Amino acid sequence: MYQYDQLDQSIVEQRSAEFRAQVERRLAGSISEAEFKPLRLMNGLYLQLHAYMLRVAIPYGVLSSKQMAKLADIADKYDRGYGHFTTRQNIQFNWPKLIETPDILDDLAGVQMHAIQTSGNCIRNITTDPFAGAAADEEVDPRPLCELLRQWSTLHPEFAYLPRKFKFAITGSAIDRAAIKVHDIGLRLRKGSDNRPLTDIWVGGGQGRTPKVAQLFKQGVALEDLLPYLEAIMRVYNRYGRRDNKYKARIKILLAETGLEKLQEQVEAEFQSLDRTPFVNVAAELQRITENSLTPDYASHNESGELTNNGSVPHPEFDAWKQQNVKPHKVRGYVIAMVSLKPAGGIPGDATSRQMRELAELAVRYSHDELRVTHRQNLVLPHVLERDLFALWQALVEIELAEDNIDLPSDIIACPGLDYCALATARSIPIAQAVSAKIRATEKKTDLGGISVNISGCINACAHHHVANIGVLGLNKGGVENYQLTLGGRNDQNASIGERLGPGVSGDEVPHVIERIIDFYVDVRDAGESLSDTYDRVGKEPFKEAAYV
Amino acid sequence: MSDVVRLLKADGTVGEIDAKAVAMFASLEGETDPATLSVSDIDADILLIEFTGAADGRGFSLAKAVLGKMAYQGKLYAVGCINPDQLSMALQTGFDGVLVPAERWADYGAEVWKAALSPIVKLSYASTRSQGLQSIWQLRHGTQS
Repeated sequence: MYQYDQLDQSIVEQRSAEFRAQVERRLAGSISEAEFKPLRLMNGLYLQLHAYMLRVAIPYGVLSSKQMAKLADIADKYDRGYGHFTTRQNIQFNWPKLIETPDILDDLAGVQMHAIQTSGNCIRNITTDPFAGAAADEEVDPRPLCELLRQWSTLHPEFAYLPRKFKFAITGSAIDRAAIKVHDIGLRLRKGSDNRPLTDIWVGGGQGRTPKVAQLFKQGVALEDLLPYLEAIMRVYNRYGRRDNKYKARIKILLAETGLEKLQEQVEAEFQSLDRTPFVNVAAELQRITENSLTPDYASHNESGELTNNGSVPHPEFDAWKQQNVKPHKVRGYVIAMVSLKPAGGIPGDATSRQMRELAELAVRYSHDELRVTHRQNLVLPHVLERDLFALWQALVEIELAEDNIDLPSDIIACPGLDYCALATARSIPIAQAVSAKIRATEKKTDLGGISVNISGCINACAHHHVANIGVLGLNKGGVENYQLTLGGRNDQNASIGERLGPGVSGDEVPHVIERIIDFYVDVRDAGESLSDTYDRVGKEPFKEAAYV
Repeated sequence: MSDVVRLLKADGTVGEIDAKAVAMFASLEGETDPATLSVSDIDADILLIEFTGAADGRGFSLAKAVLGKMAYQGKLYAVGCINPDQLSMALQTGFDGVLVPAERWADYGAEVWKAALSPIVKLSYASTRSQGLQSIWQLRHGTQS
């Protein structure tokens, strides 16, 4: 993983000091809340229903053990002993005091972390494949490009006041685990004919009130042209993106209203006339980033593996966890171990400080000091020797993080909803808890394959319900919570927007409706067929009849 | 009092200009599309770019276009809804200073405006036109950008 040099360290420390001065001006009353709001948002500090919420950046979802341990310390010192991992691979603390937030930022800076641009109408945290650099099917490691984009977008003077927030995602594999087609810009890295990396650029994906799948905007962009081309897209968006209506301000609306061809022409004209001198150092910087990134020394890693289960002793619970939570690694003898933050009946994405601290220790012992955060709000130990898996699993059992439900229906994405969020119109966490508690038993006795269930507490779709196989949207109808269901969405390389199934139901009914949908799918699916494929084959009506008994 | 506009320059000097004189300067709104501009539109010793909203950053990109593609050589000042916390961005995108109406100047106070010329963040990754900031990429690689 990338290691800061003194310059990276300095800019983070300076930004923290700048925010301290802004907080002091607010506390002294010399600036109003209206003036302070854009300043605090640029450092990820929200004012939620009950308290401030600080969103900490985890650039492209990569964490060292030391960083994870520091997050645990922050949870204990400034919050209520837990943190909430998010769909942008970040972490949120729900109860910080305003006066202490500069101290939190100083603590974060001490481990090469920050909260820069985790909110506001700017370029947000770059996200990527949580298996980047480890996946067996990866063509190009996206992390150096992620870091280059992080640096380019950090405090970019032209793009701090965009029409609306702006999200990038990058993948280097044909199987898209980064959901690039539902981002403002999605980048697909691949190898060209001469083995040099090329990038396909997808533009205009997004969720919220007007969900859209991104369109292929430009194919085969060489890395030396990529940053200037992205800068050209950002300038065109900044110039022509709508500012009269925040719900129509994302680039997906600009693309829809302008048309793909015309927008491509505008970007191309900007690209051709762009001053390239700011980018003369990009190739050298990309090389430096690669050289300054620690690569696991696979050969000399811990050989202990003292608690292996070599198959001689049957252990069905371990076998089930391995079957569901362990993925292939590019290096023989290694695997990728996923840690579910979705215990049956638990709060999706939450981890206690004890769990975070123990995970940091496990990463030291078993995963070359490294962890990842996934956009499905889970964690990953990316470089685990296969022979250490049993010991790792036993340690995870000890801290109640051995749930074997990755990619199953109980692996639910849920936004904070009405329990925390000022924008929410309905609860989402209690619904997720009830759903997972109900369907966990079914999962254990039936091979369901991968089914995603995402639950949003308002139309802003922070839980990505539009692209879930089973999406749930909580609304408020006449003062009563009402939940609409969508089916057929997906966020992979074949991304599609789910279709509304029928009338909304009460919160109590949601688990039952989802269970009936899953039961119907199991009854009618062909061998090896996913829920989305079954839905595409049989259509909405049979699912609707089964759901609304 | 309200007819006086403060001119805060990047070099730290503060001047006063009559608002009527400011109204005579060549001016572009921040939302102006550079593609629609001709050289005659910016043929002036002093050019103003007006920020029409505190959350509208189009003026920063317009400044880069005017100074870059259109090779404007005169003095470029920001006016309108721009606050001290945005001054660093203005300087990085090439503005020579900011024109601040007396009332807005008083709202923040002279100390805050002047302090904004020496921002706490003194680094930027990509290139910067601001004398007070250093480009990290340039420092790392030693290449002029």
